[in-house]
Amino acid sequence: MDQAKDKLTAVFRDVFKDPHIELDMHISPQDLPNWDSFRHVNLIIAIEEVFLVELSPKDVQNARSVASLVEILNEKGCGIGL
Amino acid sequence: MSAGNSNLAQGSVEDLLLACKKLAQHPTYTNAVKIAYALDQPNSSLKSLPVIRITVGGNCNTDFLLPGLRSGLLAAGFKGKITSTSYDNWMQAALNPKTRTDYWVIWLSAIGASRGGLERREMDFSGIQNALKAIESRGQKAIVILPEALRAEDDPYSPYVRWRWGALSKLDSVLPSFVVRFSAENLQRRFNHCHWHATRYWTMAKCPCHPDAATMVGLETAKVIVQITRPRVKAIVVDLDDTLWGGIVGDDGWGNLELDPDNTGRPYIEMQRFLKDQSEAGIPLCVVSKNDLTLAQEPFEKRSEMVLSKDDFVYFSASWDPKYLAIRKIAEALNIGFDAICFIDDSKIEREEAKYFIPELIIPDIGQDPEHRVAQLSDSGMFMTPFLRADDIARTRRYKEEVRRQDEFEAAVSYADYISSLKLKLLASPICAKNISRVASLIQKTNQFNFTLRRHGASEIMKLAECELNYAFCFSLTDKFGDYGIIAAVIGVKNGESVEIDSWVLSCRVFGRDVEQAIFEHLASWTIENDAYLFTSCYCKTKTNGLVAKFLNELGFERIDDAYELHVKNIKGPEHMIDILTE
Repeated sequence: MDQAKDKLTAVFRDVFKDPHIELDMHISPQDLPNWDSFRHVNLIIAIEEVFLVELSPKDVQNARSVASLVEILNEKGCGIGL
Repeated sequence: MSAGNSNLAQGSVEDLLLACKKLAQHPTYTNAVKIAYALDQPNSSLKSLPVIRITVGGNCNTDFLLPGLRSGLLAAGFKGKITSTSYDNWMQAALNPKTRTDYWVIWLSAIGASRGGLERREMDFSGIQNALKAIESRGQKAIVILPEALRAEDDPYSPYVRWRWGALSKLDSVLPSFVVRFSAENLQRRFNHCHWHATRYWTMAKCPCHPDAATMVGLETAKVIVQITRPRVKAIVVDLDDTLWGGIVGDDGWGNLELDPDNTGRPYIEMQRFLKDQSEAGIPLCVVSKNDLTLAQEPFEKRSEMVLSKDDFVYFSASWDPKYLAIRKIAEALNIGFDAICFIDDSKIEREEAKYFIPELIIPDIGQDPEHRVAQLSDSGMFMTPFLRADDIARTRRYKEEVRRQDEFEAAVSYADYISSLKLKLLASPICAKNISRVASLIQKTNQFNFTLRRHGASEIMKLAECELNYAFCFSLTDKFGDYGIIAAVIGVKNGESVEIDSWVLSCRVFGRDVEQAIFEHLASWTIENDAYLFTSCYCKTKTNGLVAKFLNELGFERIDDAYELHVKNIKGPEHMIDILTE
């Protein structure tokens, strides 16, 4: 069981109001039609709360796909196995 | 992001209200968003809520305010229909005569005014003033969230300090008087200043603070709006003993009440100060106390620490009647609806009784610990006075002039019904080593309901109790709300065919609930079983125990010389609705 991955999945499901989202590295704003800039900020707020990290504006800018988001979070020691 | 919240959208209204309550204790943006999302789902029970239309805007992105604002409104029973104007665009919307709304919430953040804390620019004061005048001309109300402290101001000599203070003082002079000024600085302190400041959210989304902090601002703004919308508290009815001072004036005496502001009296003085401020803001104060009138007034005349004087009250009721009777008279005399009267009493029993008879009353659940009471009252938001009109200030005086004696009236609900609903149970236990310390303390300390004022010590009481001929019982009381503990003790000395009431004390907090009648019934049946037929008692009249004389009279005692006597065959009643058990 990868707890960190489950936490991230739960965040995505909550923010995008879709209980069926399964995370994979290829998901980007093109795949989630309501991944707009406002939703992006909501995603960041939730991630900061759940993983107890702070993302810099640069991180936020770069985090616009699951792959880059996971990379950024893992750099901060979140240990998401995806 | 707790899992427990994830189904809020399908949950009941109760779940939603519980989530709002949790949010108020621990505001997070993500939880507020969940509540807001649930509010967007079709839910028939929410349809009936009254709607408040609000337009928000400011020199920042105010979208982050909305979930908290909506949750705060829901918690108070309102549905917010909220429009957000785009970033820095509120003035145009305000000047547009077609903008229809009840309230404006305008966030003039310091971080927005300084372009992210980078420039100390002059705000557009005349633009702000004109926009607000346009809002006023349409009869809409406005709340302005004033510039908050910046992180740079952690250095007290920072040039941003003077810049912001200058802006605040200029704003104060240009904001029309109808505008409610909302200072966020107190929230910043409460929230934890470091968490408040999160410039990354300014950078990425023009949010003036951490979104969690914005949620808190939303919740607090909702309180202000609710306060303006709802009919406010128009009169306060307050208890005396253990509410305005520590202790019971009838038992402890005016000189022994806790009123020392540097000691345990501080919270009581704080309560008095709070009430005095309410009175000065136009909310008339009334006393309703179970007390002897003369005794109840003594602290006001004789204790210099008192903040409140008798003149601060428009109505002063001290009697042994149920409190709702006096509250009804007050409502009539002041011509105020029950739903605008706030009843402050430390006793849960009194609060429950008042609520039973007058369900509309506003009855804050103030706790046992006096230390927290004023904070609880002020946190409720009920006493916020965003506007202070000259009319408010004059109101207290006007009420005082209007109060006049009202005729007795019939109670709509009978007191007997109420007493029976309490399901009072009285347990009579023989006085023994197990309960002697409480009994002795009752006998030594009770001044109001005390027949003979004989202050026996524990060993004397035990001697009387151990004599097989004597009646020596103490009584504990329970009702559907809980246990009152030992509240009375009676010692009867049997002398041939008569029983002399040597001591009879009853805690005054239960007096008037037929308890004294039930105790007498217990004594009377014991007397009959033990082949006696005459009660005698002396009654030592003092300034404080006038209610004993009234009670003796009710029971049918006759005065013979210095003693009081009652023959068993002349017992009237006693009538009560209390179950009596003997241990």
